Amino acid sequence: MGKRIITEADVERLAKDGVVEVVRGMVVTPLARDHASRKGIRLVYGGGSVPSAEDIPRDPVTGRKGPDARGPDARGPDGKAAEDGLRLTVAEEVARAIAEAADTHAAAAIPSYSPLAEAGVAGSLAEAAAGEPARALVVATGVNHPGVAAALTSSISECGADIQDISQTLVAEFFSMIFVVSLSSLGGGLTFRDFKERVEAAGRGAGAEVVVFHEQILNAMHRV
Amino acid sequence: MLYSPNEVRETIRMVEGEHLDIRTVTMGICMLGCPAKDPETVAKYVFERVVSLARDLKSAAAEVEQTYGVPIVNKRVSVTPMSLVLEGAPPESYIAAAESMERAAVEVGIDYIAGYSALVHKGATPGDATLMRLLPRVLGGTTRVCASLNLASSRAGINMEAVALMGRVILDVAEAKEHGAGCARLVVFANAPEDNPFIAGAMHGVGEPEVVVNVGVSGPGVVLAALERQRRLEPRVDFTSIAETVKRMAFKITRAGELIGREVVARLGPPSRFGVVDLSLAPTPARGDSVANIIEAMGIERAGAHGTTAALYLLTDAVKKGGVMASSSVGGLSGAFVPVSEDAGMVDATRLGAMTLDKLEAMTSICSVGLDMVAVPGDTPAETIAAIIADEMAIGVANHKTTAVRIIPVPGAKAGDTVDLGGLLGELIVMDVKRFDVSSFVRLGGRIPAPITGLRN
Repeated sequence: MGKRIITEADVERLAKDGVVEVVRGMVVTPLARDHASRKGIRLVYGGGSVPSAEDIPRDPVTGRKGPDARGPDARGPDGKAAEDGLRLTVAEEVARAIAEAADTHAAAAIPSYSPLAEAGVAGSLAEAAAGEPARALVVATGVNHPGVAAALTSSISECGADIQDISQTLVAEFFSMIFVVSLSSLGGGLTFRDFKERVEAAGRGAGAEVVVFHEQILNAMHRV
Repeated sequence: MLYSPNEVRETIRMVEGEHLDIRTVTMGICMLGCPAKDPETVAKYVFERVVSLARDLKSAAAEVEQTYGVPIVNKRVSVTPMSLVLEGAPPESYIAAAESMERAAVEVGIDYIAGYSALVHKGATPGDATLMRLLPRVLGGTTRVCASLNLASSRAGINMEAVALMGRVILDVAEAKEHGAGCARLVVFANAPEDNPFIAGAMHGVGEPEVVVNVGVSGPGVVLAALERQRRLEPRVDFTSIAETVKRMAFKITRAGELIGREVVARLGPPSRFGVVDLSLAPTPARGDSVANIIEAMGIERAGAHGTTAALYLLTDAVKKGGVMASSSVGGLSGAFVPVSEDAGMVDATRLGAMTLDKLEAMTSICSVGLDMVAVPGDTPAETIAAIIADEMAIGVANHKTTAVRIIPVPGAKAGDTVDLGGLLGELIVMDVKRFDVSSFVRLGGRIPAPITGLRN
């Protein structure tokens, strides 16, 4: 949150004596970096900076930031250590990518002959995969009248789900509402299906057409 | 807002209104560990292995269906080609294996189990020959077991002796059940893929891991709706823009398919692993879920008219391009399906005389399975059926692609008759075959050599 994106135009605007100071919270787009190098503008990374949009995370062992391989200071006097750090972070990135593609069980299904089966990689993959909580989208449409939003929100909260985002549009007497709901706090052993049934029933009771579906299906189809 | 209203609306529309479904989730199971070849051991091993591994397939699929709201139409199982498991076994073991597959399918609650198969593209072993000769008995005595044969490959050529034998076997299988229904569970291939999730040609190839889950996506309904919407909303539609629309829809369908497959695998747990997404557009007899209708939406009055092959090419190519962008695990047949009886639009086109056997053969150069669910008169000579198969095999071998024949000689039926097989198999309209004699060609024997393009090393 609150990250500032530095684009090509920003690079030129922010340049003072051919130098742009990049501080914490700024994300420099790859195009902007190319543009800067074309224009001879130097990017200087200030305290706690984030080097670029393809940021390499902090080295877990040394606590040093992973070096930007393309930057001019990729190899300092401690070039060897920096290189090891890079190798470690790359290994970490690969493990993370695999974990994202797989899931807890698939990770456990790594065959014994695979190099990934050694050194507890499967365990760490499983841990990484368990992170993302499930979310649902609740979409309600219908003729506007008092009590629709109240019926939906109270039904959602009765299930123990947490509303993270709401968007509402009114056209004449028709309304459309989209809720993004976190399901990680669903109460009383409720499953996704129970949640869907309850909220859809509550919406219908209030005279709205309600559809509840899992966030992942939307992500799968629309996000690359 | 985390999501744009357009994305949300489109997701709802595809899932709720346009038949976005997963056509099949098929679990492939390796059977090579069978410890002995006597009938009792084979029967016990096959049954216990399928039941222990696929017991939760249905419930896992149902849970995923409910969570994501995307129906999974079929849950099925494929096994290692039985000829490889049983080579050297007495004929009773082949029967025992098939009966055991049938019982296991009933036990785990699935409608079809595939893999009563043999790979004979270069030549048949005694075991392969036994398996082929027993097909009428096996398919006549079961209702869920599916059989397939690989008769040709681009590396080996076409095994014409096996082709000739299968002409005879298919007629015998047809006699074994009412309306020749047993033939709906028998496919002959050129270049059969090892990871195809679609029944009846599914098998668990020898290069596969122990247990895999392959997904066959569907979605003719979604593609059709998108094309119709494009026609309505865009002032000018040309071929490039149609290809673009199909590609986009294929991308979304494939992403959904991969998500569903991985979620099913997650619920099944080890040793199941995710295999491939098969990008085939597979129709169902439901209205609007038809590949023929997509061809017609491009401006061809009836599927089968001149121009159909070009339209099918555009469609199939765009589906592949969209799908391959969406998933790195693409496999199986991955081409459009045109099973005549399972596609309401194809049935209509056949009834009106637009779709004929010859046109289907031409379309084989594009789609994945050529003559699929095609009915011919029951008095068609075995040699003619073998020659029809040989033509299809030649297209596959010469073009390095999978082609297949699932042909049903309906006993007692004449060209133009209608036969209803019910359910997913749909309605058959018997097509005419040419009555000229080809028997001395088919009986030449031997093997048609592989094409020069097969020598790539």
